[in-house]
Amino acid sequence: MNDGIAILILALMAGAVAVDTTAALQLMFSQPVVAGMLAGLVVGEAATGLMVGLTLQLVWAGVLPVGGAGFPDAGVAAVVGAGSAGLLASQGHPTGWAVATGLLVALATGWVGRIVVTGLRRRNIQLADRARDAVLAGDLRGVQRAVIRAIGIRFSTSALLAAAVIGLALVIAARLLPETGPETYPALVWAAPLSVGAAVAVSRGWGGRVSVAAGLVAGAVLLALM
Amino acid sequence: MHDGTERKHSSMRPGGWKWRLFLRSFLLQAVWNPRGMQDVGFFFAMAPLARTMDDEERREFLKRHMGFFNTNPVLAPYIIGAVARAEMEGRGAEEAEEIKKALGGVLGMAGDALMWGGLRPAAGLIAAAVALYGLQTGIWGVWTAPVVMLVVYNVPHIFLKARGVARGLSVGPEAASELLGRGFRRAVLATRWAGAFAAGFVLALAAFGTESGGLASAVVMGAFLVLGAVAARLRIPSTLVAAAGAVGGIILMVSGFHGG
Repeated sequence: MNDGIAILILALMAGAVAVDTTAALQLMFSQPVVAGMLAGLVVGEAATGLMVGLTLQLVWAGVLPVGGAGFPDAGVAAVVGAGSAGLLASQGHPTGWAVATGLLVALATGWVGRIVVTGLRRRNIQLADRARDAVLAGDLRGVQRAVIRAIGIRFSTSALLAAAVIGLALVIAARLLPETGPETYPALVWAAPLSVGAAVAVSRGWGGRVSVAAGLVAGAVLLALM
Repeated sequence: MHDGTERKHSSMRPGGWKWRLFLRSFLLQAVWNPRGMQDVGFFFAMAPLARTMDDEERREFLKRHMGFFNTNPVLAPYIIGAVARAEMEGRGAEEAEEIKKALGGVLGMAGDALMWGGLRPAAGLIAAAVALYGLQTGIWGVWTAPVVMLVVYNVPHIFLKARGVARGLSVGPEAASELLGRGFRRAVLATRWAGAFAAGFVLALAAFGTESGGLASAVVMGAFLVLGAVAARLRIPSTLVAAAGAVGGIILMVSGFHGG
């Protein structure tokens, strides 16, 4: 597939998962393990996309999007990271470098996305005021318009962000990444313990620690039996 | 207002209201803003009830339903259903604000604990375990982990939303009391422990199931285990910790360590 078309599809996907994050549905298509695999599939590198998504899922396992707290834009980050990694791998770059680049780009996108979401939410105050004025004037559809506009703005902003970041990542990577290198990147060596730390902190108390230990033993036993 | 509103609303089948309120509850946070939070979303959910009102009634309705509102979006349908019931029975002016205030905070805390603190991380970590095991063994396709994530999260998610609207319409605010019994606390603990179990499982697969670097792998994993716990406790952004980890991973990769 042409890179331009792939970036366009990835941008539309980023817009859709951005909307799913909080604005509408919240069916968790925006979770990195889902969004990453789907983005990888688009560029013909589903396994690479799943690897990137899995790593990001572990990184942000302990993030609680409670109340007005800011949160990394994990869904958009996963699409950008998995899409970039998949495109780089499909262009012949070593998979280790492709995954490392995808993860760094994803983490940066998650951070930028957090700022973007905060800004958009502030802007929603204007939409709320307009909706209120419309209803007071007898126009109930003003509320529907506010809902549609807010979703449209979230979709288009995230799609543009994703397209820009993926495009930039490909240009920079083409100049900086070495032609040869390792085919694996040790993402899980740092991401898996991070998730355990977060899980223990979130679950608090002995129950959480015992559950982690039980999972650790179960995993080890399963591997031993293989 | 009482008689007229009740008569007009009763012309719609109860199932029709349930369906509309249920679907509209999925857009509760569309216009989330730091001032009124879910104010527009709540009004949007209730808006069909205002269609049959005259201007004066609509103004009062707006005052009741477009003020500050914030709760957990998955349990919000319990409130939407209860408030809709009060409105349909002509008791909106007296009870709507009270119901929103009384249940908003309680269901917000309970829902955040169950859904954001329990079920969502658990579903994500279970899916991560499935993904990792699948990548290591190749015994199932890349679709499996995303499907597991969507099913584990959405079955309870959609059930709670549908039941919330139905019970709220049937019994009013008491629906929340039904939900928040002893079983609810057990469900929160169960989801948290399931998430912690899955996290331990992932750690085992990452530590022992890959071509690892022995002592180096153990040292790096131990360091990040401590970092992850400290970062979560101190609320240090996980993105920052992960960025450090990602750079560390590149250094390991360049130095010839390819585990994980």
